[in-house]
Amino acid sequence: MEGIKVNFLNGEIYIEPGEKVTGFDATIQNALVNIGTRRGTDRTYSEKGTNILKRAVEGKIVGLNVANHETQLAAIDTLFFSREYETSTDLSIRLGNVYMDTLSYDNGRLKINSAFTNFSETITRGTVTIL
Amino acid sequence: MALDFISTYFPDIADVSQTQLFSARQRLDTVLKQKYPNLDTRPNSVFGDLGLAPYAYLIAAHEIAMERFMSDLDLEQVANGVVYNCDFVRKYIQNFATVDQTTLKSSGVIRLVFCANDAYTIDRRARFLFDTGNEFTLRLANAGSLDILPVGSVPTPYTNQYALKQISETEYAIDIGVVGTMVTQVSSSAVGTTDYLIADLTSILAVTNFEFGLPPESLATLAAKTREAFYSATLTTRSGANNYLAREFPDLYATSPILPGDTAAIRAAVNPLGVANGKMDICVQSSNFGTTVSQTIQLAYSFTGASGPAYYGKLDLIEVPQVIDSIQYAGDAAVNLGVKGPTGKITILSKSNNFAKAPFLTAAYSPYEDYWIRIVAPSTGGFDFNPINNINGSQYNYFTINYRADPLVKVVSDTLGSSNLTPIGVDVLVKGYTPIYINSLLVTYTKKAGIRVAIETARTEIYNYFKGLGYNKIYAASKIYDAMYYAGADDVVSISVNSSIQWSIADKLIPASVTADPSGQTGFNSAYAASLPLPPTVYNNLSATSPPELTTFSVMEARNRGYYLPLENILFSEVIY
Repeated sequence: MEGIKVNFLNGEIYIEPGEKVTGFDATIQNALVNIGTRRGTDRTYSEKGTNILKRAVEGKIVGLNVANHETQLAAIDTLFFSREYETSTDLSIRLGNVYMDTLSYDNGRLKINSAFTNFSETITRGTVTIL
Repeated sequence: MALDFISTYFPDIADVSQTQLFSARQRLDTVLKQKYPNLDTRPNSVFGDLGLAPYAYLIAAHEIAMERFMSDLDLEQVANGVVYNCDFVRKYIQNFATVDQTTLKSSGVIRLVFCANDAYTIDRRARFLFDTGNEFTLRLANAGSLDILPVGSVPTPYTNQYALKQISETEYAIDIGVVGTMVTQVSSSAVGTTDYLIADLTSILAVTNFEFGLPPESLATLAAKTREAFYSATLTTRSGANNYLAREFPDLYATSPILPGDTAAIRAAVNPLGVANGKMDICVQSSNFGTTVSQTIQLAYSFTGASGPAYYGKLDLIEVPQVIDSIQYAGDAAVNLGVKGPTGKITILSKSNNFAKAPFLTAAYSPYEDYWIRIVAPSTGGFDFNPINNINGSQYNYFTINYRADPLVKVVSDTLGSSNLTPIGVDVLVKGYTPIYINSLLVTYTKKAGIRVAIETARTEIYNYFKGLGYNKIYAASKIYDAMYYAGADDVVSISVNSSIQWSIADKLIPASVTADPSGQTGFNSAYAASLPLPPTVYNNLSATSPPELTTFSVMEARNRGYYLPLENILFSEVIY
């Protein structure tokens, strides 16, 4: 599985046309895009995306508990969506689990820790402090 | 300009459903994977979202556009009114010759009125103009110019010869079909002009309301006609004849070819080899059925004769008559001339002018039936009006015949009489339907209290229904029920009919054996003595399923059954409970 790389660096997100992302990393990249996509903005896939960004800009993430709650929902939504529309039969590429928790919440910015494990549970990317 | 496929056929974004988008994306993905199996096209991938998704929309929209394009090619869809590109469909239908050049032209019937009884030639390129933009040329079936002959002349077959008919004391005329371009409606009695100098021509009149050749809203109708007419449009089969007439004469309401084997096909005979001769009667009825024609003719006076003093002459009518409304003394319409009938004061005899083609009553309501009239002078002692003395010693007078006709019958007959159209071995006779003359149609109805029934609306509705009725449209009482309901009636209790078959407008039929000229007193009396009565047959069952009515001379069955219902003969009776 090969895709075009998207860089998420220092708050910036941009496509790297000259670089590619392969294997389970491509799956993780798709999952990250899904987390940041507003649900309902894609006409083809109505379940695509999560509500976390929408609720954040609407000011509905009030307090750490709510933030935790929203990130867990986003993780579940992303996992379910990925499993629903996964086209690869390679278990090492398919998404097995998504873990997310709130790293910090300071009324202005929400930082989330996340980790992704493949279906064969042979690869895990990222760290989650509280599971 | 090239076809703008996108703006013509592509759907709005909202018209592309999620299911269609999803399906297109999946199929595109499958195709791509054959060439690029490792390419990440999953949702949220860069290529999947930024490449595949927009392409999927284009494919889905294109598939809808192609579906619409193919719908335009499917004439069943067009016939149902589903058209996405009218210009394309119109051109596409032209490939099937359903709207050939002739049909695209507007058409009508004009009357050329002359002040002298003479011979004239009119170039077929002559243009006839009605107001601005309405320009027509003669509809001539055969090659060459239009030759107009004096009154009483016999036109040669397969030529464009027309004999003048006297329409008033000083006027002679012919009615002839025209085709051309019509921008604004040319109505009956409109006065026209011509760019061709014609001696003695005093006026050009529209006999009928002209028909637009191709109304803009008729695309669906044309598509339906194309589906029917694609296979055959010649005079060799029943459906072929129907299709041909539908193409050439779009203003025909009803056409009914009668072929050997049909009950009404009494012209058909079987030769010694057992093969039926090819004979086809075609009954036609147009939107101008029931057009009022008034014609003043000169009749010779004779003091002697079995009926006493009377006027005699040939009824040289300009149109093929369907119903005689009245016959009046031209000098004073108030003079009562008496009753028309076999034994009445006014008697009309008829005879086929071509026994080989249309013997006996088969000539009725066709251009092959000639008429002679006798009008008994309307007073036994002392005349209500005196005959006019001619310089040569003879005496005469003028009478006005008011009758109803369908001007298109003669035009269709002339057109189909062309040697270019008549199929080899098939003898085609064009005529009007044999009408059931309805003396009274009594509709008994009920209404709710406080409701006013629009009787005149119902009357007009019923009148128009019968006016357009001719096989293969059949009578259905439900149309009368509908008209009454729309007019406000609560229920229709009954429909009572008093009607009879009018075999011909004549009262008696002259057999072929009579050679005397019935134009004068002696010949008329001789022909009258040998003539056969044509009593109107009482026929009160209007249903198309009623059995055929057979006489010695003619047959009326569903295929040649027509109806004539004067407006004033529609009566209503309200029942109060």
